[in-house]
This record gives sequence, structure tokens and C-alpha cells, in this order.
Amino acid sequence: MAHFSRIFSRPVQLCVRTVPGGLFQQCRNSLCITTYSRAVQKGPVCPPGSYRQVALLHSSAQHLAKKDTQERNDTRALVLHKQVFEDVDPDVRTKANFLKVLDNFTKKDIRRRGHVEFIYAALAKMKDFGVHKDLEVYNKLLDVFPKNVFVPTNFIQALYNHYPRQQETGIAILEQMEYNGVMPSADTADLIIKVFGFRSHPMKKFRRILYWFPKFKHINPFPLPDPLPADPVDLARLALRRMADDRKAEFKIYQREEDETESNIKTYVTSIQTVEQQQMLAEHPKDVPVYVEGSFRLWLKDKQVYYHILRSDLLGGTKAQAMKEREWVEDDMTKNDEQRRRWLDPVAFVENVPEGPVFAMCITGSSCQESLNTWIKGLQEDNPALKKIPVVFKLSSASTQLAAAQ
Amino acid sequence: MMTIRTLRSPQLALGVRVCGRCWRHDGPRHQRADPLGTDGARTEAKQEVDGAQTAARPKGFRTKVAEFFRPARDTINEVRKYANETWTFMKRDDLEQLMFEDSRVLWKFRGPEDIDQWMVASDKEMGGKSEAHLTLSENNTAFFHGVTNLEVPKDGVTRYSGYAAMRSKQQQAAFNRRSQMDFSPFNVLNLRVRGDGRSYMITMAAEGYFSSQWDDLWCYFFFTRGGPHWQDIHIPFSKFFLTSKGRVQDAQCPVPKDRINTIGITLGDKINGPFELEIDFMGVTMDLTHKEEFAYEQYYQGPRRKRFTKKPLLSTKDW
Repeated sequence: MAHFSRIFSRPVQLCVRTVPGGLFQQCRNSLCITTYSRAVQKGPVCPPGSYRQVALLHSSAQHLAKKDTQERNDTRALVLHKQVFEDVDPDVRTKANFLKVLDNFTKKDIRRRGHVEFIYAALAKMKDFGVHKDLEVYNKLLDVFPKNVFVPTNFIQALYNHYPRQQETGIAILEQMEYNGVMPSADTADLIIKVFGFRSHPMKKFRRILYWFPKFKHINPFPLPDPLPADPVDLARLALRRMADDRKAEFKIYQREEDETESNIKTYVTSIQTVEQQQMLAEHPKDVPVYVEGSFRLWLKDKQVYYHILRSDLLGGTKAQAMKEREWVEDDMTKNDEQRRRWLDPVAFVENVPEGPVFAMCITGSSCQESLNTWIKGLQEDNPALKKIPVVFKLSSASTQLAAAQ
Repeated sequence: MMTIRTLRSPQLALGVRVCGRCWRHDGPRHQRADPLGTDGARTEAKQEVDGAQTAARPKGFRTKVAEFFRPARDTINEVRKYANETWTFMKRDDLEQLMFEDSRVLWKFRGPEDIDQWMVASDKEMGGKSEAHLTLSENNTAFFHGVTNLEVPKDGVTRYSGYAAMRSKQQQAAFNRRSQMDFSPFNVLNLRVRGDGRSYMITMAAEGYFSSQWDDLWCYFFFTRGGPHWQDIHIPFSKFFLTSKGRVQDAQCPVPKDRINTIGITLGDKINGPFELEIDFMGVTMDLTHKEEFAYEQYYQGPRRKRFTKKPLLSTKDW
């Protein structure tokens, strides 16, 4: 049993170093032996350092951890770090409680024994606590590392990968920040330098994030507020304004949720129409029907809204009109010179897909026929010509359209 | 390069079926069924036809003779193709076009034959649950649709999941060489799309000599407006940044416009749910107002180098 005494003298290292498999596996099997229990000694006897011994000890430890959840009072038993986070009641998984768990760990042991496993367990649980986009929490997580221990002090340490597992963990924190779009701050840099030194892999990762994030921060030409408005009418306004692509387009609310209606359906009806669309609708022949089509899907970040459109088929004589959709300013220079026009805007000469005009768009709360009737009634007040044009409803849900396409 | 490949596997030179994904494997046994998840129905139908041909017809004398001469016939075909290529290259009757052309439409999606030039991939290849399809829409345009699912496959290795991609097929020249597209007269990539509000990425793969370059991909994002209106997108080539195996590289360089193998559209915006993207055409143009050569810094990023600069004989401080 001599080898067992050796194991128990440094239980943490046994646990950290010997779990076979890659980074991910180690992270999943994050196990920490905080205090050893007498039960471990009952484990089978194997030659020290062998794989079998490790595996068996590992499983027995897991077994113990399971047992520990049943008997919480035994403070000397093994505990999985994951368990510390899972013990928090799902109703109170908040930032404050997450930080409390971190605090408990950092205060428990000045040497921060088992911090690698703890950090991986924390990273995996961040989304449950709703702190995966919180910079402060990430900084606190970096603060769990002991300071100045992993900083290389001579050229050999600097040359080789100094404390690779800890550096990997540091990178994992930064990568999760990157994945969630959290821009690290100067405090993050200070922490990384204190923990790993300036010439270290986490610092390199930090600098990469610092280089690339601002490059792409503002490239979206259709920016949305963060977070998105909770009010569905505000969301509909955002969506319709974005789709209409016209600053002068008129956004209208034909019905609010609190309004009393004869159909007795509590929903909102919002619509948008540009001046050009109004003109087109006024010039539309009275005997050709227009269609209400939908619903179609629009994504605003990770929220989806459904919209309907009022459109008509492409009429024989209006094909040129459809082409004129992306008409540009013709001046004297380009008027009769196709070559020059072509040179100025070559893409304009790929002919458009022949499609009929769109007259208006709407978003309603329920996407039902009644709400669309309200929309058409509202449109008829703004466009008197619509009163004489037959309106045909061609409705299908966005998911069935997709199924049909497949 | 061609000769080396030919020496390594004579089947390549003879144009016998090789692995659909790369020239390194030889023989049909490496060919996985539906390797990149192209539409299953078509592949099955094809297999049926193949099976019917091989199984139903007993091998007669004529078939045996044809099979005997097949390698020779295939080689002659390849030689003929090669000769054609060389002749077209040498006579250069497209010189005027090369010098004065200001735009080129690469793909205009108007029928099933245009869709066939593309293939579709998703994280299903690595055990994920996303789906992607490329079909012809009602308006006779390409319709790229499906569902992205962020659920990570439980293989213990994969950490992220949830992407869908479409990519143009590799163009082949004689003797199974890959042929590249040359966009050097142009500086802007153009697209006309109608999306659903999600953000997509354009990827370009260029021909590289060393194996470390085979995974190089130049990428840039485009954002769709959503709604019923078409949207024109112009992306200058200078904006494309270099990635390899999904990681943005430190040492950046502009995309080599003269040897583009494939162009693709990728979706991976960390959103669970269905997506729809309608593509009208894809082309390249020359925009003379765009002067930028490369949008990202290219200074040396390694450790500080010792500078062997001579000390001036008489510096201004001495005056």
C-alpha cells in the first residue's frame, strides 16, 4: 500500500494529470478531490501509475461523488465541481449566485487547488446562469487563477509551453467570450498579464480578439438595438422599416391589442407603405386582382416575425416597369450612351427577375385572416383605388412553404 | 503537378472514377455515397440507373471489347480535351474581352442545370442536426434553405455545431486537373439575393500548392435585409480575410484572384431555426472607384527582429 500513501499525499495532481483524453474530455470529466475519504482506500490494488489504476480510481471517485450528493453532510467526501453549480436551485440561477460560487471557491484555498476543473465547470454552466454575455463575470473567472505562478521567469520557461494546461484554460475562457461576442476590457488584459505574463498564449488570443472584433463591429448595414424591444409593435416597426428600405415609408398601426373590434380578436395590425407603392396601387387596373400573400419569415437577431405582403402578378405591359425598379439617375452624359452606363454600373444590366410589384407589407400579432381583413380595410382608407380592386388571399404558413419546397 | 499525380495513380490519367472529393484517393471504393449531402433523391435515382445497367445486362462480347478499350478511349478523350484547352489558350481570341471586359456573370440561376453546378453541405457530416437544401424556387432562382441546429454532436470532440453551406463544384480540366477561375481584371464580387434577415458569409477557396494551403478560405460577411425586395450586394475582394479550418489567421494576405477554385455561401450565425436565401445571380465587376488593395494590416507580427541598420556617419544630433 506504499503507493497509495503517495497518491494521497498529492491527490489533486493525480486527478489533474491522469485523466486520459483531450481537452474536452478532461473538461467534461472535471473532477476534483478536495478532501480524500477513507473509502478510496478500499479501491482495487494496481501497480502505481498504470492506466488501469487511474481508471479504476477515477470511477470509484465518481461513484463517491454520486454518493456525496445523497449525503450532503459529509464534508470530507469527494465533490464534482459541476455539482457545485448544479446544486444552485434553477430558480435562483442568477449572476449574484454565480459570483457567490466563484467567491466560495477562491476563498476556500489560497492555492486555488483544482482551479482548472473548476473553471471548465463554470464555463459550461454560464449559460444556465445567464451570465454568458457578461464581461464582469469573465473577469472574475480569470481572477480564479493564482497570480504570478504561471508567469515564466527564465528563457527556458518562456521558450517552451509553460503550464500548458492552465494556458489552455485561459484560452478557453477567452474563446467563450469570443463566441458570445464579449469584448474584453483593459481589466481582462491586466488579469491575463498577472496570471500568465505578457508573452503568453492567452495574451495572444486576447490581442487577436482586440484586433478583429472592432473590424467587424459595425459592418452590418441593418443594425438592430441590443436588446431587441420587448413590445411586439415596436419589433414590428423595426421589421417593417427594415424591409421597406425607404425612409419616407409610412408606418401605420391599424389596430392595437387593447382596441375593441367587432371580430373580437385581440391582436395588433401594423402596416408599411411607401409613396411609390401608393402610386402604383392607384394606377393598378381595376379588373386585375391583387394578392395577400404570406406568411413569410423575417429574422431579427434570434427572434422571428412573420409578415404578409400585398402584391400583384406581373402584367404584360409592365415588364419594363419592373426593370425600372432599380432605375438610376440619368443625366446628359449617360442618357444615350449605353456603354458608359454599363461602365458605371455593370450589375444593372443583369436583367431582373420578372416579378410583379409589391404594394404594402404588414405584420400582425396572430397572422390570421381576421387581422388581415383589418389591414386591408385600413389600406382601403389610405388607397381609395383598392376599394375597387378584387383582393385574393393566398395564405400558408412559412413552415408549410418550406416543406413544399423540399 | 499533373505528372506527379498521374504517376501516383494511373487511374487519374485515364479518367477512371475517382473519389468525388479529392484527387488523392483512387478507385471508387473511397467514394462515399452522397459525400456532401447533395439532394438524396437524385443520387438514389442515379444509383438505380447504374445498378440496372450493371445488373440486368449480361456481359456480351461487345461489352467486353468496349471494356477492354475503355482506358485507351478515355485517355484519347483526355488528350483531346487537353489539346483543345491548349489551343484555346494559345490562340487567345478572348484577348479583347480580357482587356476591356468590365463585368462577368459567374452564375445566373435560371434552371436546374445551374443548380447542378453547386453542392450543399451542413454539419450533418460531423454528426450535427442541421439541414441544407439547394433547389430551384418558383421564380426560377436558386433557393438555399434548410434549418440550422446548434446541438453539438455528442462525440466528445466537437465543440461547436450549426452551419449550412453551399459551394460551387470544382471545375475540372483534362486529366482530372482542377481548373481555376481568374478574376484578376475585377475587384468586386456581386450578388443579388433575397434573404430572411440572417447574416451569411461568402467564402472563396484558392488553389494552393502546399498541403497547409488546402484549407485556406477567404471569407467575408453579407447581411440580408429580408422582405420581398431583392437586394444587391457588392463585396470588394480587398475585404476578404484569410481563414483556415474555421480560424481567422494572423498573417493575412489578399485573396489570390487569379486562381479561385470554388465560391461558396455559408450560414453559421448561432441561431436555431429555418433559413431561406434566394439567389438570383453571382458575378464579378471592376469598380474603378474602389482603390483599396487590402483592408487588413499586413505588417510583420512575429517577435521583434533585430534591425541591422547602419548608424549614420553624421546624425542630426551632432550638428
